[in-house]
Formats: sequence, C-alpha cells, structure tokens
Amino acid sequence: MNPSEFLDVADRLKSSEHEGDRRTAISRSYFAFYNLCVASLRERGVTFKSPIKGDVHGELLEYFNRCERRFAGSLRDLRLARNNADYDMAATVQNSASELYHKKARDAFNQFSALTSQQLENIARCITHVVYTPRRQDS
Amino acid sequence: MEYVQTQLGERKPGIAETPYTTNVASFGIAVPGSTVSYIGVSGLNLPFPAVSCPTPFLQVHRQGQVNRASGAELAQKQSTETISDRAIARSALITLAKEIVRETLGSCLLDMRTELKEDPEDVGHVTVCLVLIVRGSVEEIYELDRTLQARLIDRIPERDFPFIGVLYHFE
Repeated sequence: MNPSEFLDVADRLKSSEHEGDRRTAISRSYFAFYNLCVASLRERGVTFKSPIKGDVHGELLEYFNRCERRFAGSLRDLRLARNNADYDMAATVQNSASELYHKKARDAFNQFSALTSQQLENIARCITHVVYTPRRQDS
Repeated sequence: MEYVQTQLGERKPGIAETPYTTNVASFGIAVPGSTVSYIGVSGLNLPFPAVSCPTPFLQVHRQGQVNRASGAELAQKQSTETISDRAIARSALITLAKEIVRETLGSCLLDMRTELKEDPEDVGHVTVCLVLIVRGSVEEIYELDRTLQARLIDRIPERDFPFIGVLYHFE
C-alpha cells in the first residue's frame, strides 16, 4: 500500500464533527510520513537496528537528526501530536489542530517524495555511518 | 507517567532519593516574579526544571554561586561533565527554545507551558514538549511553524534537538 493513502484518510477525517475522526486524522498523518520514510530508506539498504519495534520511531528520528534535520523536526512534532491524539483522552483535539497536522504531514511527505534518487542515496549513505544507540534523556 | 512537583527548596514525598535528584535539588533556578518548580519523572529519576513564565534571564544558584545569563549564553556553556551540569544546560536549552517560540509566534502565542512527554510506545524516550496555545488561522500557524522549525534547527544543538518538541492547541 502506498502510505499516501493514509494522508487521504486523514484528509477525509480532519474536519469531522467527531473528535475520534479528528484524532484518527492526526494519527494517520503521522504514519503516512513515517511509513514513507522507513520504506524509502529500507529500499536503499538502511537497516533499522532497534530490537524493540516501537523504538524504530526513535531510531528514524535520530538518523534524520544526524543526516537531514528538516525532516527530524517534522517527525518529532508529528509523533508528539500523534501520541497526544491516540493516548491522551483528557485532551481536546479541535478541527484546527487536526487540519494543521495533516497539512504539516502532507508538506513533509511531499518534500521527502520530491528528493531525488541521489539525495536519498546520500541520506542512506550518511545513515550507515551513524552508530545508533537508543538515547534517553538521562544519558 | 507520574509527575511530582515541588516548590523551590522544598521536597515532597514521591521524589526519588537518588543522587541524581539530590544533585538537581541542590540548586535552584529562580525566575523573577514567577513560581519555579521541578518535575521529577517517576522511574527515570529525571528532574526537569519547569519555568512557567516569560523571562529573559535565569538565575542559577549552585554551590553558593550565582550566575546570571540569558538562555542562549547558558546553552552555549552546555557541559556534559556531570549530571547536574547537564540538567542546568537542558534548562537553559528549554529557556532558549521558549525564547525562539516567543520571538517567532509573537501575538499568535497566547500561552505556553512545558510538559515532559514519555513516548507510550517507546518507554524511556522522553521529550520536553512546549505546549503552545495559539490564536490564528491554520494557514497562519502553519507558516509560523515553518519559520519556528528553521530557527530551532539553527539554534538548538544537535544532541538536544530530538528531545525538544512543540505541540499546538488552538484557542
């Protein structure tokens, strides 16, 4: 499946009158971008080393932080918004927020998609030189 | 995640008695005209100073010394020699990030608070989240966010960049 389908789902739900739809829109927006990045990098030989599946999110963030920071900021903040949408039931997620995060994800998605093959190769090559060890705030 | 907050100079039950926490509790960050608190994260024993009001200066009292510097100046002095040094540097980075947010969002920013967010699916990965209450159209905030991201990339050191994020709530 093309991860852009998640963006389409988010587009349909982002302005819904139902908060569950708006939260889902934010979540799908994040995963559209995340899956695009992971799949594209794997195609170019990047191996994610995290033993814990969830940690791949942090690993990808670290790779972008070292090799292409403009995507690191988008990934980090979309992840925060997604976690807020999926786990924080006390929060209120308005239309404006879901529309903003959909727009932000679509922008990041389009920017990443627009990378040339050579640019992607360069990022993948850079990542192979990153020694990834899961980092924690207290390290 | 449990948060334990304490006023400057006080300890409340719930804060783990570890060298880490003790170290950080041994200094205070005083912001003129504001209440300052520390946040400890249960299980991580990771205290973060939460500075809850706009301020151009930090006063750091540590081992009898008083330093006065802007967030940017303190951030430049980031040291990794000791845990308490790192905690001070991080508090300075948070202040710096907040300064960048204020100068970028201007009157669209109604309020800002600092929260520690532990990733629910990546236990131990904690992000300092600047929760921004904003006023404006989606388009306006989107454009301001693009500027903000560029400034954060320029001014937040690489090692800290993944751990300081922003979350928007509209008025």
